[in-house]
Amino acid sequence: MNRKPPRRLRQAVPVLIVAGILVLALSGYLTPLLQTPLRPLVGAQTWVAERYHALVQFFTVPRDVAALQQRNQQLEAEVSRLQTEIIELQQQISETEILAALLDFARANPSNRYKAAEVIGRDPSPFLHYVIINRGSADGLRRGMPVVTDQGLVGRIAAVTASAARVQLVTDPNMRINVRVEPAGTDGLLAGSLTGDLTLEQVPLDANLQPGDVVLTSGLGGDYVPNLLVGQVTGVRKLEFELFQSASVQPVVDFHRLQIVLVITNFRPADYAPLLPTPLPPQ
Amino acid sequence: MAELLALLVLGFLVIVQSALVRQVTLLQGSADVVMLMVAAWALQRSVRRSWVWVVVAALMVGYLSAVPWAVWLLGYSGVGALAAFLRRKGWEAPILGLFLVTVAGTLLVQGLTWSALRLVGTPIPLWTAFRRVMLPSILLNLLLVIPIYALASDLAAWVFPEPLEL
Repeated sequence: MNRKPPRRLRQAVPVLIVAGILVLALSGYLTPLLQTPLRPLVGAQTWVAERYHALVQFFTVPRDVAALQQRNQQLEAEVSRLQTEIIELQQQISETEILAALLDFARANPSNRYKAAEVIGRDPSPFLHYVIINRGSADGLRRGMPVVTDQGLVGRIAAVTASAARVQLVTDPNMRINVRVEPAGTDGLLAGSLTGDLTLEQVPLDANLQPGDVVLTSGLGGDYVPNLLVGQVTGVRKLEFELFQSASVQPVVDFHRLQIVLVITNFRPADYAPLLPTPLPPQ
Repeated sequence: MAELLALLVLGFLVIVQSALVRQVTLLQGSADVVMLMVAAWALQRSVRRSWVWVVVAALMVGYLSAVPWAVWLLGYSGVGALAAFLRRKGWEAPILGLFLVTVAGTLLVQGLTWSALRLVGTPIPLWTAFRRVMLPSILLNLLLVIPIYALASDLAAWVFPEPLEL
C-alpha cells in the first residue's frame, strides 16, 4: 500500500517551503546563516571593484586634472569678475545713497536751484583747503556760488573754468563766514584754520553761547544763502577782559569723505565794488 | 621728445597729486610727487634742459592750485637748480643727492607758499606751519624718493639711451 500524497498537496509543499523560507528571511532568522557564505563573496566583489576603480582613475585622472585646471581658471576668472561687480555695485549703492540724501536736501529747500558735481581732486598745496569739482562755467557755475551737501555748507566756488571749478572749503585758513548761532540768537564770524578747525569769533560777551548750539549762515554780507547749517559749538572761550568771546566749532560736513556736492546756482554773491568809496582826484 | 614726455609724465603726476596723493596726509602735510619728479629728472646725468620740466610742472600745478603760480615757478626752479648743481658736482650716488634735494626743496616750496599766503593776508603761524605741514611733508616726500628716482632713471634711460661701446 504505497499511497502517494494527493497531487495538490505535492504541489503545495514547495510553495509552503519557499514561503516559510521567505518568512524566516524577512523576520531575520536566516541572517546569521546567510552572512557566513555571503561575507567572502562581498569581500571579493569589493576587492575587484576597488581595483577596477583604481585602474579607471589611473587612466582618466591626468585628463581630469587638465580639465579641472581649465575649469578652475574659468571659475577664478568668474570669481574675479563677480568681485569686481560687487565692488562696482557697492560703489553705486554708496553714490545712490549720497544722491538720495542730496535729493532730499534739495526737496527740503525748494527755493534754491542746484547742480550736482563730483569732487575729483584737491589743491596740490597742503596749506590750502580747496577741492576741485567736475562742473564749470559750461554748466552754469559762477564764482562765489555756495556749495553744500545734505549735511550743510561745504564752501564756495573760488575759481571756475569751462569744465571744472575750485571750491574753497569753510575750513580754509583764508575763509571768513558771517554766521548766526542758535538758540543763542547772536551773530559772529566763523574762521577756518590750517588744521581744519573752525573758530567762532566776534561774538559779543553778553551772548549766551553753549556747547551744542548750531551755527548757521546769517546771510549778512551777501556772500551766502542764509540758514545753511555750518557746524556745532563744541567749546566756549570767554574772558572778562576781552571785547568778544570765541568758540570752537565742529563742522557738520566730513571734508575727508566729500564725494558729491551741490552747487546753489541761483545765488550770486553781492557785489560791493560800486559802493566802495573812490579816492578823490587831487585838486 | 623729452619735452613731450614732460607734458605726459607731469600731467599724469599732477592728476595723481591732486586726486590721490593729497588724500594721504600726515597731520596736515602731504607729499609732492611733482616736485620729486622734477628733482629726480634734473639729477639724471643724461638729461639736458631740465628747466623745461620745471616750467611745465610749475604751470600745471599753478593752474590747478589756489597758490599763486609764481610760487610754484620759483619753488620748482630752486629745486631744479639745486638738483642740477649737485649733478654737476658729480655725485657718485645721485639718489643721495635726491634725498638732500627733497628736504631742501620741500622747505623751499612750502616756505615760499607760506610767505605768499602771509603776503595776501592768510594768518598761518610759522611754527604751526613748520610743525604740522612742512615736517610731515618732508617725511612723506622722503618715503617716495626711491620709487620716483627709479621712475625718472628708467625714463631717462629710455629717452636718452647710452651709446654702445664697441
